[in-house]
Amino acid sequence: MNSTMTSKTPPSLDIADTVSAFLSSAEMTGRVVARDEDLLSSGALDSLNIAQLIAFLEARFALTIPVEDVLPETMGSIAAITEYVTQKTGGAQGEC
Amino acid sequence: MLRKAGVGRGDRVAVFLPQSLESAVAIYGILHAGAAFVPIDPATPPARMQAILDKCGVRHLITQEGKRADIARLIQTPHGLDLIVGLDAGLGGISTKSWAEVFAATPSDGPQITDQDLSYVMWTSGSTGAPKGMTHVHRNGLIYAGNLAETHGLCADDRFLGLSPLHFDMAVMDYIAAPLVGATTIIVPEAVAKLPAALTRLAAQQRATVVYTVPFAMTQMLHRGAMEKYDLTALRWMIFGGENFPAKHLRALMQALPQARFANAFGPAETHQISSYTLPGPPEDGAAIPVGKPWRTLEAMVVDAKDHPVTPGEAGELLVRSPSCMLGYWDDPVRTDHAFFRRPLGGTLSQVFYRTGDLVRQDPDGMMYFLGRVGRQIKLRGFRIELDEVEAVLVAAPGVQDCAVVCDDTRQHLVGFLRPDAGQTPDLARLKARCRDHLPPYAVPSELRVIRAFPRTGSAKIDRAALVRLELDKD
Repeated sequence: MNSTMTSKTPPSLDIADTVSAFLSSAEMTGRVVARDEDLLSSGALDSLNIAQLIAFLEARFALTIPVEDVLPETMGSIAAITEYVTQKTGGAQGEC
Repeated sequence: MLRKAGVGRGDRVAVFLPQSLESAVAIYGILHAGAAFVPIDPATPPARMQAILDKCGVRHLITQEGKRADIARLIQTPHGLDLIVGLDAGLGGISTKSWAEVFAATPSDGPQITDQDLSYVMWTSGSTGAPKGMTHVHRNGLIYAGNLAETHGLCADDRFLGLSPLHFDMAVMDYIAAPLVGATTIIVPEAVAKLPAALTRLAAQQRATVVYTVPFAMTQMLHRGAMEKYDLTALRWMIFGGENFPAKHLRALMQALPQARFANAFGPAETHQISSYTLPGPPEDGAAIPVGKPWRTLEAMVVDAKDHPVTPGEAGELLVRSPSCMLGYWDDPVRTDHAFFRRPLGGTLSQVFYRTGDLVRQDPDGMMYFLGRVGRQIKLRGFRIELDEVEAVLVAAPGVQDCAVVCDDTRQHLVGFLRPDAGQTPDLARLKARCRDHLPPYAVPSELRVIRAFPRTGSAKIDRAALVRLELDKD
């Protein structure tokens, strides 16, 4: 990730892993999803499972995601989601 | 470029593209070459796409780099493709042309065509699992576009929010009516179309004046579009069609956009839209919203089970005789024959009506009300789905004894009930994958459930109404 990476995994990596695992689950895509894959144009996400994704993110990271935040720049890829969640949680892990 | 590749009058050229500027360039290039475009839903699985290309005799395909992997899978099986436009480099020995080459090419003259020449073949679900291709000529789209322009007073100042993908006949508004009146179409990328807040933002930024889409998309804008954050005062027409719009959502949307007029658009893709009803004001809960009076270019007839006209005000199947009616289903004489009713004129002459399969009621003044479908075709979020087709895919899977697919209207999704062969435990994930491989995405059941015995009706048929109740009682 970056040169200052310590033995402790950076939170953003955990967020990315968690989101990645969820998107790959059978109820979502049932396949491996690349970090930079365009989730919205590739067909990985349709309008139904976008709602599932939002519900998952809210529950898993203890967030409230307002509707106006659900945009291509926040939800378009695993990288974008990770950045958004990191910013919303202030960089801290929202473990629950 | 297409002309040089041998494309000519009457040929069919497939368009396998997401909503983009290229999709507009593709269809006008195809029409200019004298050919008809065959839009393929970008989410179509390879097996289904292959069936459509084969059946339609497609030798030329227009796509983009992003679809390379899909096309690579497609051409693993025997195919008839000679040229793929939109790929930067060759693929499997098929010659390709890039979009850069397309934009650099000098346009050549097209052949002379008439309004009776093929313009597009749109593929839809069929009840046996085989897709059927609604075959239209130039006149059809032009009449449809002209009726839309006249009904809604469309003009050069208008800016359409282009939401309908090419394989939806509503795309005629964005791709044909707009050029007809000199209006602008804002072609909405898929990523934006899927996210209501992004769509609302785009409509505001682009000062869109007309939205023509399915009620589901409008309801999404209402609930998830953050509409209060954006200036949508340029919107003057909200035109919805394809399924019923629940009155409570429609009322809320009309209240949120008080300056816009709302119209209910009605008609199957086989004939294109046949009527429009402009709402006088927000509807009351439970109020039946009419679908309008037949446009003056066509004749509508409501008949009973014996094809005799019913008394005005009584329910019956709607038959339509329209100059924008399809020629028939591509290379499918049996289903084409079933689709039409012929009213004798005298001698060997007759007038041809399309059997819509829609159950309607028409008042003496001509106003029509949609009551439901005569057959088992349903509409879910604007998509036409033959439940029989979904069941055919599931029943054909090993280990499945019987199945029934029902639509849960409350949750707006499909649920498949399966009875496994004796002693078998079905692998639901695998069955779902099978559905994804054989069906368009919107026809894949959201949920599969195993059932030990089906509730049955008196005539021993699976009692689907009881299954729907079972599904509703689940929580």
